[in-house]
Amino acid sequence: MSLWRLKKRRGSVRSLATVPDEILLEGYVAGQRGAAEELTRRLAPRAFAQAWRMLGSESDAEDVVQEALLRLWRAAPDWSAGQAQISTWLYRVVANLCIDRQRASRARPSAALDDVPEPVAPGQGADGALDAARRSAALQQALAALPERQTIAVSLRHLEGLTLPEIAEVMECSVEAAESLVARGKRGLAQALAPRREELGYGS
Amino acid sequence: MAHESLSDSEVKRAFATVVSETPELSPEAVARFAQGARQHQPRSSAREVAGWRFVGSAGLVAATAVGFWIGAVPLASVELIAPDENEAFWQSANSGVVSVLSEGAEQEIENG
Repeated sequence: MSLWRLKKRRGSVRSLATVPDEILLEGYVAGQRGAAEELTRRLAPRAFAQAWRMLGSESDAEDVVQEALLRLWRAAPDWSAGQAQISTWLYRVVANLCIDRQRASRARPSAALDDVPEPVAPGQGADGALDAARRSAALQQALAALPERQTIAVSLRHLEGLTLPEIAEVMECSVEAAESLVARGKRGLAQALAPRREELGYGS
Repeated sequence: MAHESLSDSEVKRAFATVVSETPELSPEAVARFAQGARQHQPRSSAREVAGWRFVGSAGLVAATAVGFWIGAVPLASVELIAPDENEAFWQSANSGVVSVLSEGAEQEIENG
C-alpha cells in the first residue's frame, strides 16, 4: 500500500458527504466517530422538519428526533444490507412517534386557530393579506384531524415530497393503497379547510 | 352554510406555506444528537476497533517498508490501479485496514 493511496483514502474520510447512509451506519457500528456525526447531520434536520410539520411544535419535534435517532443507534448493530433504506426507516419511526404524541394530545384541548399570534410585521402591500402563520397552523390542525394513516400519507407526499412507492414502503402497504390514502386525505383537507377560506387568505 | 371546498391549487399553496414556515434545526441540537450517538455506540465495536488499530499500525509499518522499496514507481501507474476511494475505504471498515485512517493514524502519517 503506497503512501499515495493512504493519503487518497485519508482524503475520503473528509468527504463523508458522498458516502451512502447504510455505509455510514456500518461505520458507526465499527466505531467510526465521524460516521455517526455525518449521519446525524444528514438525518436529524430531515426528521425534525417531518416531526415539526406533523406536530407544529419545535420542542416536541426535537424530542421526537431524539427518540427516533436513539432507536436508530440501538438498531444499528442489527442493521443488514438489503433492508429498507435508513431514511425510509426513519420516516416511519418519526411518523409513528408523532402519531403517538397526537393521540396523547387529543386528550388535551388543542390550541385554537385564534391562539396563533398575529404576525409582528403585517403584510407588504395589498398582497400582504396572506397570513402564513395562520395558514400553516390551520393546515397542521386539519392534517392532525384526519385519520392517522391519511395524515401520514399526505404529510409524506405533500410536505416531505416522497414518491408513492416510497410512501408505500414507509407505510408497509401497496402503491395503490398509498395513492388512495393520499387522495382521500387531500380531499378531506380541502373540505376541512373550506370554512376557513377567508382566514387562509383565499377570499370567500 | 355550505362552504366550497378548497381547490387543488389552494391546498398546494397551503402545503407550500407549511414547508416554507418550517423552522430549521439548530446546530446545537444537531451536536446534542450526535453526542447521543456516541453515547450509544456499541462497546464491542470499540474493542474491535482497538484491535483493528493494532493490526492497522502493523500494516502501516509494513506499508512504509514496501513504500521505500518501490519508491521509484511512478505515481501515475499507481493511479491506474487505485480503486474508488470511498468504496475502498468502506470495504476496509470490517477488515482492520480502517485503523490506519483513524485520527491517530492520520497524525502518524502526517508526522512521517
